[in-house]
Amino acid sequence: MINERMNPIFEVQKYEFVLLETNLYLDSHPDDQEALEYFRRMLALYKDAKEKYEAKCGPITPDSTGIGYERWEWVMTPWPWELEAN
Amino acid sequence: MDRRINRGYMRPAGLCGCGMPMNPAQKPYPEQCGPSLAMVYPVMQTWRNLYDPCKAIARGTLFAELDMPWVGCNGSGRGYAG
Amino acid sequence: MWMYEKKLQYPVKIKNSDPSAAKIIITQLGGPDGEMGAATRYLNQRYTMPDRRIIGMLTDIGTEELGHEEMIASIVYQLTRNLSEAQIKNSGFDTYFVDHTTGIYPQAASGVPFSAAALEVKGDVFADINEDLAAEQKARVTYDNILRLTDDPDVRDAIKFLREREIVHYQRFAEALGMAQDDFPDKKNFYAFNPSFDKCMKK
Repeated sequence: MINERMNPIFEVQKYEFVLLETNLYLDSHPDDQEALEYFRRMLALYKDAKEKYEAKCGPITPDSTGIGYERWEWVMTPWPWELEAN
Repeated sequence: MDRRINRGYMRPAGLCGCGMPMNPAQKPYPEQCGPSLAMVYPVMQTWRNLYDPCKAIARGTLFAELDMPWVGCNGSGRGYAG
Repeated sequence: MWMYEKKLQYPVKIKNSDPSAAKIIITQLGGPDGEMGAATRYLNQRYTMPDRRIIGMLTDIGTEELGHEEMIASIVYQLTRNLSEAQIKNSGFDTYFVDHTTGIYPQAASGVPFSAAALEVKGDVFADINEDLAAEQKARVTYDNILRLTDDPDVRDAIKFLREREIVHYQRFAEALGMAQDDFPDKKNFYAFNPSFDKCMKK
């Protein structure tokens, strides 16, 4: 399955996933410096992936529907359960 | 509040909950430090054996040690591994 | 409060419709051990937790479970696309279809609607975390059973992801139990008082 993940949203999903896993680990290990450092690194990769995706395909959060759009793209792009969004 | 991460019974060597240093090789555990009846104790995870992000999302976890797939045993071929 | 991100946590891309699988899988939305129950438990238990790390854990896992509700709904949505009347009649899906068409209604595979009666918020950290440990195991078994019942690789892919999340959450809740134990002053009698309610411990 994983080889078919050519959908650009997958880069965002991938980095957000490892951020979440690290987040949950840190909830019970709040002083783990290695985990904190990993979180910071992945956060930068995630933000970059999100920006690149949103520039090409539309907003993931409403606050990204700012300057540069002529209409309210937030509602217009495919919703996550639609086949074309995956 | 003291928030040290590695302490207590079943965890990597460190301090036990009552503040006494604990040597896991020391058996039986000191009366005041050992686990109590009528309670279950966790094994605390440590930060190690990470998958890369692509494999992590594919497996559903960042941590190889938590990757525990369904295998089944009735030879139906529906189990999956690796 | 909650923000929404317009994407699934993990992709759901199901090529073939299958209403009888939908009838089974919807149980992980509205059934007794499903994602809606998990989110409801954790997001409501968190208010009276005596340790902020445990509040954080319940908030973060509860929020992830909302994303899982969305994934299950997406699976059911995609499995019930483009149905013919023959498919509806022959699949056992007709008893759902008559009341809900292909709308997403949170119910168990048995047809029982979602209810908070399947879950508990006890207001005691030890009882609540044990409830959560059990919830993750029950959800995991339900996913095991779904894997027994479907061959579709697209469906199995998403289900395996959701199943693995239950195992990770189980470990996290075990660690929360460890934190609650560490906080408690009497290591030989964890039941001397209720740390979520009684004022015996200074915060």
